[in-house]
Parts: sequence; structure tokens; C-alpha cells
Amino acid sequence: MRTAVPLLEVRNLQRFFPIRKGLLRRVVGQVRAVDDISFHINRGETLSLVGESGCGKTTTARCILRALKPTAGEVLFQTAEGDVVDTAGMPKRALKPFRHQMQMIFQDPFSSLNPRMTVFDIVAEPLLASGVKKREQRRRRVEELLELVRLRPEFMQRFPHAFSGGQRQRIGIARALALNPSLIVADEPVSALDVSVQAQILNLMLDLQDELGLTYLFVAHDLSVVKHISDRVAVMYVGKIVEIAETKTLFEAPKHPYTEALLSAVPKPDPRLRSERIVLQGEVADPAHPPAGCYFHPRCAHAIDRCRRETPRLEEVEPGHYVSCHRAREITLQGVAAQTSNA
Amino acid sequence: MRKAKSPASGENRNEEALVTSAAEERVSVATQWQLMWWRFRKHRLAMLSGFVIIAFYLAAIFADFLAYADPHKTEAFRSLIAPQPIHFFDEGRFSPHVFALTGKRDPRTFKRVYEPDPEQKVPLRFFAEGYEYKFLGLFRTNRHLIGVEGGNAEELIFLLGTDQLGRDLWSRLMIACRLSLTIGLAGVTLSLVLGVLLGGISGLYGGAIDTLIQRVIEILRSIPTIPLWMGLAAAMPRDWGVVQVYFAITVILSLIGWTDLARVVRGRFLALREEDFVLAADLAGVSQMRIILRHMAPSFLSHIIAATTLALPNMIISETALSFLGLGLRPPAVSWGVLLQDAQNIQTVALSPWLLSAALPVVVVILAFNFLGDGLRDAADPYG
Repeated sequence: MRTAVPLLEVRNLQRFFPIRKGLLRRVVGQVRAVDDISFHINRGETLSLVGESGCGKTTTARCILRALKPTAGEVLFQTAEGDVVDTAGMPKRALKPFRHQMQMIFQDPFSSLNPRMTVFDIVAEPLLASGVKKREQRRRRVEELLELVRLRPEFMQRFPHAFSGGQRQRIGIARALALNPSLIVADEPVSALDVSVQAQILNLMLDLQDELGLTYLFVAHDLSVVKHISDRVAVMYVGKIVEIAETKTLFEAPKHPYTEALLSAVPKPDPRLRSERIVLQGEVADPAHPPAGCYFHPRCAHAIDRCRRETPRLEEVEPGHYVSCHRAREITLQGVAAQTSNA
Repeated sequence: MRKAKSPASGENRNEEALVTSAAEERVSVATQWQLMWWRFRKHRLAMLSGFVIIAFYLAAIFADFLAYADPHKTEAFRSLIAPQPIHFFDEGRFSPHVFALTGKRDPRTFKRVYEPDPEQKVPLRFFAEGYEYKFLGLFRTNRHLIGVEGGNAEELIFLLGTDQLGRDLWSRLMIACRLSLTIGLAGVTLSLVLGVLLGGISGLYGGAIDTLIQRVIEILRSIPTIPLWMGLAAAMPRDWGVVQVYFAITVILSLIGWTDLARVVRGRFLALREEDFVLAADLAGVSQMRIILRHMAPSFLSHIIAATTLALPNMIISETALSFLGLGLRPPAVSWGVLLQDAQNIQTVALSPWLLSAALPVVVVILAFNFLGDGLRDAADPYG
């Protein structure tokens, strides 16, 4: 195992969007969409990035793929050749040789497939772009990929409009796998699907992970999905990571008040297990004008004076459990009980 | 694809549902253009209009063949003859003919009057000989669709009557198709190219270039057209022919006529730039050029076709209107607008209403283009 070097390591990643105003388009402020975050993903594991809408999950994902250029920070990626490269500051052209090693699965299976191209053309396009010139070779590979995502290869002459949402998502996955990537960034891959189809796609992703040794960065807001698929979970709030831990630890013993609130919002099928829901006061902080100190303090029930003045740092409170809270060691928080108590 | 029909293996139920009738299978593999064609075909009026437009352009190509009299030959003795009815049967037999006319001057009004002579029948012949012309600019011939055996068609047949100078109106209408239907094409094409190019650049690059192009569009749109037209008409070199001048003006005007299309194309590019499938192509390492041509362009090509179909009647109507006002084409050029110039005063309209006949093809063509454009626009986005 090459666990010594993680497949992906993100260090102090920042992405700000300028706010422009007036005729001269002067910059009057910055939206701090991703505000100094660091984490790593080991080869073969699934890290989930959770948080509510607008907390910077998608921006983080796109910065890693360099669909967006990070404002600052490092994105260290271990290539298939074993080198570690920093993709964050690289010019786009230099990026090309290992770009295909990280691919993306999109949220919307409708807008992510060009309606004017056949399934074959869609899935074969990355192959064509990477120089597989022979049509027959591409056809064989597409056949293979479609079988991999449990679709019939005979469908490759069809256009996307002939498929359902779940099937389209499978086509999207086949396209992402075309060039044998090591890292797959899945941006809410199941949130646009019916619940019955969600499980199919998630299980497919887990199977593919086993078969191909994939590493996932899984962006989601649905915690029950996250619990099912991930090895570790990172919780984001207003552009910052507030907590990272193993899935089990995070769900059972969260250390950050925001994580606790998120967990309490997960619907539980057993009414006897329902705990008191924590309803957060106030609104999500504006990433253009974040509050001083801890960004979460205006909504936090445990906030003390220090939280209003001092911005907490992400610290390892237990092995593998990182929290960004001044009071992480003092307060005890309610997690989600293991669901095996369904007697 | 056929072998997929047999439910041989115990496949996923979901996928099985996909394999249904042959008709559905046909839709599943239909390209954008097939879907568009199927939808367009249902639009009866648009289909009909398409045929009408094709007929008009064929008439423009074969104008000399359809005409029977030299459109430029004047003859005072045949001035302002009324349209002449064709008689199809002669004593029970099919034999199309017209009655010969005898003209004389009314001693009281000094107007020339013409009287048909039922005794003197002029039989019509198909593919008869007439005035000599160059067919498609390739070879000389003197065959025409109709004519008279042995005689001179110009002196005997007047299907739509003649104008003040004794020129046959039907023949002139046919010849006029050419200029009226084609002179603006270069202008429209140029607008199209400029619109797509500048709109595309504006939408694709954004930023300062976008702002610049958008401000230029706003300035261009504020220029009033008719004074500009008059100015340009006056500024053209004196020794140019009327057709050359008009052509030059349409080309110059197309330099300000691209703005509408540019805005549409820019909007499409801005929207498409954010599409997930464009990002997916980018992440897959597809080149910028291929992304534009393969992913972005096809999704607004249909809109461009529809926009063009709606721009063509504009070009025809502005030719007609400007020539009617004396700003566009002038005699000796023959166009619908020039023909209508003859019908400018109430006197001719009251006494010789057939001079207005050039208005009819204008109306028909414009309506046909508009219906066709509507049909194309409805069919344009099969995924919308």
C-alpha cells in the first residue's frame, strides 16, 4: 500500500469571487466561497464533503478539478506515475497530461449529457481527446464501459433523451471512467434522482470502487447518503471545514456544534429513536461579510466570549478527528445512535 | 440493435422497459435534424410555404424561359394594354389561344383603346421560339414556355397587360424575381456571419471584449436607417450602375444589421458556457475549438436557420419599399419595387389596375417566408 502519500492533499485552498460594482466594475468586496481549507484523501477511500447549500462544497470540488482556478493554496495530486504535482497554480496547458486522472460525475444527469450526441459519442469523447484514433478501438472500450455501469452496449447508438435519469447518470459515470481515472469527484451525484434510483447508483459507485480501486471525493448534503458511502466525512460551513472524522466517529460522536445540528436534522425511520431536533437560530453567515471570530458563533448554543474574538483552527482532538472549535474538548454533543437497535 | 429485442437474459427490469416498439426505437436513435424534420413536417402551412418559396426561386432561375416577351423592348403602340384572357377550348377541342387585339386612339380621350377580335385567334404553343437569351448564362437559346407559332409573341400575347411604355408585364414580373429575391442575399449572409462571429466572441470571452461589442451594438442600433440609406445612395460613385449601387448599399447596411443575431448568439454562448456537458468535455481534455463546434454550435444552429428565414422577407420588403420610394433600385433595373413605381399615382391605379400586379408576388413570398420561419422556429429545438 502506498498510504504514505495521500492521493490528494489540499493545503490552505482559497477561492474568492470578487464583487464588482458600478460602470468601471471596481472590486468592492470578496465572496470567500472557499476560505483556507485543508484535507487529504487516501488512495481507495471515499471522503464526503457535506454542508448546506452555498457553503463552498461545489467550489472546492471544481477547484480540485481546476474547472476553477484557486485563489491560493495547493492541491497536491499523486499521479499514476507516482509523482506529486501541485495542480492549483499550474497553467492549463501543463495540466493536460494528468487531467484525465481526475474526473467528475455531475449532479444533473440531464444537463451533463449533450442531447445532440449519441451515447457512443458522449462516452467515447474523452478517448478521442486523449488520442484513441481508431473507431473500432473506441467502440470496444465504450462497450466495456457500458457493461461496467450495467447498461446494455446495444444502447450506444441512442441519444440521451431515450434514457431515464438513473440511466443517464450511469452514462455520465461511464464517461468519467473512460480514461481510467484514479480520483472521481462526484458533485451530488444522486441528489437529482428518485430515492429508489439513488440506492442503485450509490451501490454501483461502491462496486466500481472495489473493482477499479477508485478514490472518491463525494460532495453531498444528504447525510443518510453520506453515511452509506463514505469512509470519512468533512463538514463545511461558510467556506471552512469545521470537522473531519471517520464516518462512524462523526455520526456517533460529533465534536462540533454545527455537525451536531446537521445530524439532528437527519430523518430517522424509527419514531422511538427520534431525538430532539436542534433548530439553529439565525441565518447562515454571508461569505462576503463573515462574522469575526468563529463563523458559527452567532448561531452556536455553546458560544463563549472567546468564540466572538478568535477564529478557531482545525485541530486534531483525537487521532484522525479534526475539529475547528475552541470548546471541542469541553462540550459533549449528541450524535446519531447506531441504527442496529431496531429490535 | 435487433438482437436486443429478445428478452434473453435476466436483465434489469428498468432496462427491459426501454426496448419497446420499433417506432420508439426509431426516436431513440434519431439525430437532432431528424427530430426537427419530423416536427417540421407536421406544420402543414410551413411545408406549403417551403414549396412556394422553392417555386419562386425556380422562377428566378428560369425567368427568361417563363417570360415570352423581351422585358426591355418598348413600343408606344402597345401602351397600357389590359390583361388578356386565355381561351382554352376552341369549338370543343383543347386549343389554348388568345384573341388578337386591334388598337386605336379614342378620338375624344386620346387614350389608346384595344379591342379583341374573336375572329382572329392566336394559338398558343408550348416551348415556342421567342426572343433570344442566354440560358443560365451558359448557352444562347430562344425557347420559352409559351409563345406563338411563327409569329412574334411580343406583339400578340399580353397575359398581364403592358405598362405605359408597352412592355409586357408578365415577362417583366418574371425577370424581376431575380433581382428582388437575390440582391439582398449577400447582405443577409454577411450579417449572419458577422452576427455569429461577433456574438460568439462576445459571449465566449466575456469581460472587456464583451462590454465593447455590446456598446458598439447599442450605438449601431441607434442609427436611423433611411437617412443613412439616402446618404449612402448619394455617396456611391456616379459611374456605377443602379444594381451595383444597390448591392453595395445592402452590403454596407449589413454591417449594421448583424446586431440582433449577435445578441442572440451571445446569449446562447453565455448559457452554454455554464452547461455541465461543456465542463465535462473540458475536463476530458477536449480542445476549445471542438467544444465550440461540437458542443455549442449545434445547439444554436437551428435558431440561426430560423432567424435567417425571418430575415429574408425583410430584405425583400426593404427592396420593394425603397425602390418604390425611388431610393433603391431604379429603371432600367427590373425588380418588383421598380415595377410598383409605375403604380405610384392614383390615375394609373384607377385606369390600369394591372400595374399593381407586382404587389401580389411580394405579399405571397413574404407570407411564405414568415410561415416557413414560424415552422422552423417551432421545430428548431427538439429538446426544448
